Amino acid sequence: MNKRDELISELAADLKPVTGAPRPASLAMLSLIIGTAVTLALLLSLGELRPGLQQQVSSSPRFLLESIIGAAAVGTLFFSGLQLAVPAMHNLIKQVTIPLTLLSVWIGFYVYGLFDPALAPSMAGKREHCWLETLLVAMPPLVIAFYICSRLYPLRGRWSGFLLGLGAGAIPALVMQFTCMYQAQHILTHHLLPGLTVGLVGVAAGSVFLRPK
Amino acid sequence: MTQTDRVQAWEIDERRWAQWMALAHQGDEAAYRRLLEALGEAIENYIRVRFGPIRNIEDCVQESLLAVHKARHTYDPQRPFRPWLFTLVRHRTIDVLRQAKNEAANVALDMAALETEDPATLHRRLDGVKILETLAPDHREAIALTQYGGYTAAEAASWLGISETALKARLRRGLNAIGKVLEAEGVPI
Repeated sequence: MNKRDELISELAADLKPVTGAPRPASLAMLSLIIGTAVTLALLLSLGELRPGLQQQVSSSPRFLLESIIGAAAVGTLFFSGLQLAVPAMHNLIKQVTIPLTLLSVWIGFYVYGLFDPALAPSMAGKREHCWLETLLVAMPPLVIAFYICSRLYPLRGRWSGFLLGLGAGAIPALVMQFTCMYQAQHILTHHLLPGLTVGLVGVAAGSVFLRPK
Repeated sequence: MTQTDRVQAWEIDERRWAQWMALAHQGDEAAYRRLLEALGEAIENYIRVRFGPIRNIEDCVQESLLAVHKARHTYDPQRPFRPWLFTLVRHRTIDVLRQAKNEAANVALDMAALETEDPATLHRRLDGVKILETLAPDHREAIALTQYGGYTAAEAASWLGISETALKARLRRGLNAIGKVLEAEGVPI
């Protein structure tokens, strides 16, 4: 018996049943729901929702659209990050195009909002350390997404880490839309910038933790 | 073997592997053993085509089988088997080659052929190896399958899990790159 045959015998003897194939869409949804729930719980424990939020949501369709695009960006970032952890002939450019486009469109809303804001700029609901809260609160969703990803077979750990990091950072940035002051420049510098920085954390962490075991 | 036979064999393998893996997911050890034995040969062929003649091919095959074992839970029986398999093989082989560090030492020429072939044939073989080594892996793979392996563009594309258009684009770029190398060396094309 040669070494390959020996290996095959060992692997066959080590066989254990597998329960169901992974579904990146379902796992992304799971990451999104758990991540958002944890983020909401943490941010609401640190402060309240912005006063007058309900009226703002119902009166400004653009504000609602911004939020929906942001949520879609988070969902697709998680989906693509997890999809890359399932071996297949992935075209990397195709995988990242949709989530990064949605993310860019979301950011674009606030850049446009510098000149024509969706809501009247206001200091109502301002949090003193919202940038730090965004950074820190992004960590639990990041850990959850990384845990789910690591149970797949991540062959492109840095890319998965980058996309999951952006998604995890975008969750508190999105929630800040409802819990902190609304002013385009403040959102860009204090919510989105720290949120996007988590993408870099994801790259670094991905190269260490998201490796095929 | 005719082209039709090759296509049929390709489809039979695809169905058989997917079926065996589905059974392995349920814990069928015999099916899993048959799968790994069949894959060992397929992986070896793939690595020869994709990466050319490398010395530690057996290491690459065994590492790939190990990767198949560890990643088997990520295979979805509803999806094609080959793209899943060869993505794993490609990544593992690249890892093994990186670890080997001295890649130049990995190029193993067929020593028996070196001794028996006439000098003109030998030089053509050596030039062929040298030129193929300069190509990007995707281009080398497309050329090796269609020009040396005798597969049609459609078969090669299916085997690699890409569209026929993408295969033809890789082939065209690879052949252009070979043309440039030959031109630079003053070889009439």
